[in-house]
Amino acid sequence: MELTLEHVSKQFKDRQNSKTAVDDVSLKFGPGVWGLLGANGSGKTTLMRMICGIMKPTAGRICYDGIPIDQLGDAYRDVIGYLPQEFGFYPEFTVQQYLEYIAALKGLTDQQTRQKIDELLIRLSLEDVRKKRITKLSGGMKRRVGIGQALLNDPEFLVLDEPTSGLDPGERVRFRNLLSEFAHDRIVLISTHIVSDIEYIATRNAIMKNGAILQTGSTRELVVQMEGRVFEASIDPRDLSRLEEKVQVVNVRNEADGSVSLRYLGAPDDVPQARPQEPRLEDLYLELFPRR
Amino acid sequence: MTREDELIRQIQKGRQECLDELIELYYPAILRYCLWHMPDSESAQDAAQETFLKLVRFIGRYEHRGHFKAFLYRIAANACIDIKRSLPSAEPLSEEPDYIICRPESGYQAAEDRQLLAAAFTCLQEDQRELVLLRYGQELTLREIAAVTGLPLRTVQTRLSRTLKKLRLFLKNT
Amino acid sequence: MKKRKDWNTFFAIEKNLAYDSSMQTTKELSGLGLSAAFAKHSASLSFGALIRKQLAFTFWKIWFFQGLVLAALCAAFFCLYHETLLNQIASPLPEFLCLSSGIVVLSAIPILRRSSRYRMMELEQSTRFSTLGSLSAQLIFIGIGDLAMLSVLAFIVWQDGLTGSVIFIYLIIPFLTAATSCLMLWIRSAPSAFEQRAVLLCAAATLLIWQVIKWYKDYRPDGGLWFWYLYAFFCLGILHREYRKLQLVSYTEKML
Repeated sequence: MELTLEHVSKQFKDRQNSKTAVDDVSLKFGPGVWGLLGANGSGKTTLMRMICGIMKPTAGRICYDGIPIDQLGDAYRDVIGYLPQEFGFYPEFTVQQYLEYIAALKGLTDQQTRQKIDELLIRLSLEDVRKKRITKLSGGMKRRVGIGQALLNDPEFLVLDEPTSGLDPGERVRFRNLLSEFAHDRIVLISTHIVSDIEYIATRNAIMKNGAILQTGSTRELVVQMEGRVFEASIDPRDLSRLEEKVQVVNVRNEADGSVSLRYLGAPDDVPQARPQEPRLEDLYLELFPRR
Repeated sequence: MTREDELIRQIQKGRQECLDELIELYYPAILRYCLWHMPDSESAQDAAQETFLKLVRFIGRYEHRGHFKAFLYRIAANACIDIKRSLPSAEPLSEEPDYIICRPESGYQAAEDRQLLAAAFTCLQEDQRELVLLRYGQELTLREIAAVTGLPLRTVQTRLSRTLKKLRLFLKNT
Repeated sequence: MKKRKDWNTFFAIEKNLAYDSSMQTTKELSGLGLSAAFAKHSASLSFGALIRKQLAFTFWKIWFFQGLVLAALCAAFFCLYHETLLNQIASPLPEFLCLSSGIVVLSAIPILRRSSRYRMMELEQSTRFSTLGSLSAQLIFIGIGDLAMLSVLAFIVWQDGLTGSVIFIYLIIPFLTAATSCLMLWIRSAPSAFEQRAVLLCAAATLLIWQVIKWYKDYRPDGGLWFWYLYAFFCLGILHREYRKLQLVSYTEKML
């Protein structure tokens, strides 16, 4: 079970100009949870659409178990489950009707559909709302319904584009646990700009910027390059705006004694009495995608 | 419609005897291909078996457009990579391969040819080796090779021609 | 070593390589795999079953909406023309038929836009039946509805004395023209711009073909139906070609 991207590129052309959304990406996904990190507009969604066969690459090819996915056709769609970043619902659908509709499009029989929906509604804690109109559900519940439809065909390869946007912290934790459970013997690819969502569950990560892959590796392999660059210091609140100009700020926290705890990227001398900190993926992300 | 087209159609309907016939048709060639890529005949047989097991997974909804051979070789290439990865240390065409490369002549000649071929391959890069193997070892057409490797036809022609020049030079100097 | 035969011989592996037993094992295991894969595949939904399910889910709305449009057209016909038909049969009825055919085509547009309006398109595209499957099902339903609408309209005016050839020229030809233009536009247009452009294109296509019909009638007052048969085949050919293009991902990705 392996998905390979071989020098995949995607260009969009209109009358005025052409834009490269994905630039010569080569990746190999095996079983486990993969994080695809990048800022908005870095090309993650375009890459995921190509992986799901919704868009065709301008160059390169995508192979599943060594076979180009355009040759596999419907056989490939049977093994993937996709949750797009932006997805909606027909307004008249209840949760059950929506899942039945998608199950039909995925080619599931009535018996398979019934069985799968019952199982998923319980797993996703949506049993109580099965007859409720989806438009009346909270954002988190809608997102769970979306994840449910992706799991209907028991996919070998699950592709989730920004799956946790709109979820509260409790929902996020539940989502992480669900994914970890699911990822055994499967490939799960999650794209996100929320680093903490995948930091704890992703086996390996790929960081994307301007359509190209900057780095790949496990969380440990990626953050090790930030060692010696992450510091924390207690500062006077009045110095905050000056220091924000000077260093890349990761986090600002107000302490009980009125001081401010500043986590930043840079050198120890940048802020007096700075203490070195264990780097996290978020630190690397800000190093690569600085806030301005 | 060729016999192969008919077999694929019937296999897609679940006819096992047609699958057996297809395997009889392609197994020797696929095994030969795997022998080139694996360190011994046992792992080559595993790779050949894995190729057909993967084939039946996808053949149900495979869109047959007349490139079945290329489709099968791609699966075989991938199966060889997968199995090689799981072996402790793998080196294709090692010093003393388990299989026999020979002309149907004397044993001594066979041993000499084997050594010569192994030596000749060391002067080639992996993608060059693959091209000559597919062309002359597996007797695929250039179009089929292009479909297997994902390269444009013109590129296959050019690279193959350069590779043969290199091989000729090597053999001349040996 | 120059000949291909020489190279083939150079690379030849012993022909007597023993593989019977490993091949037999492969056959047995592959057979089991095929049975499992076939059981999974044959248990899945056929396209016909998908259409039946889609009818229950959403497609009944297509016919309901088309029914409303048809009712409005029939009401307009009876109000404007029925009582005075025998006196005014030549003049305004052809315009009415042309206009009706354009409206029949336009009635499909809100339906086609539904999946992109409700952001379902991307998800539908990633499924087994994908865009082509659900789209084909939709187009079949819309086509049946259109056929019913045209049949009812044709029957009404035929009952009141119009000949088959007149109905064909003034109802079917504009319908085919507008339908072909709209399908071509839909494949090439971003969803957000489609509705507006489709209304304009439909109106322009209907008006244009109406002018062409008038011109041709002046040019060949005695007949020349063969010309319109050829034209109809031409439109059907283009419709078929455009429908086939929907199978290409490069067209469906424009709709995202």
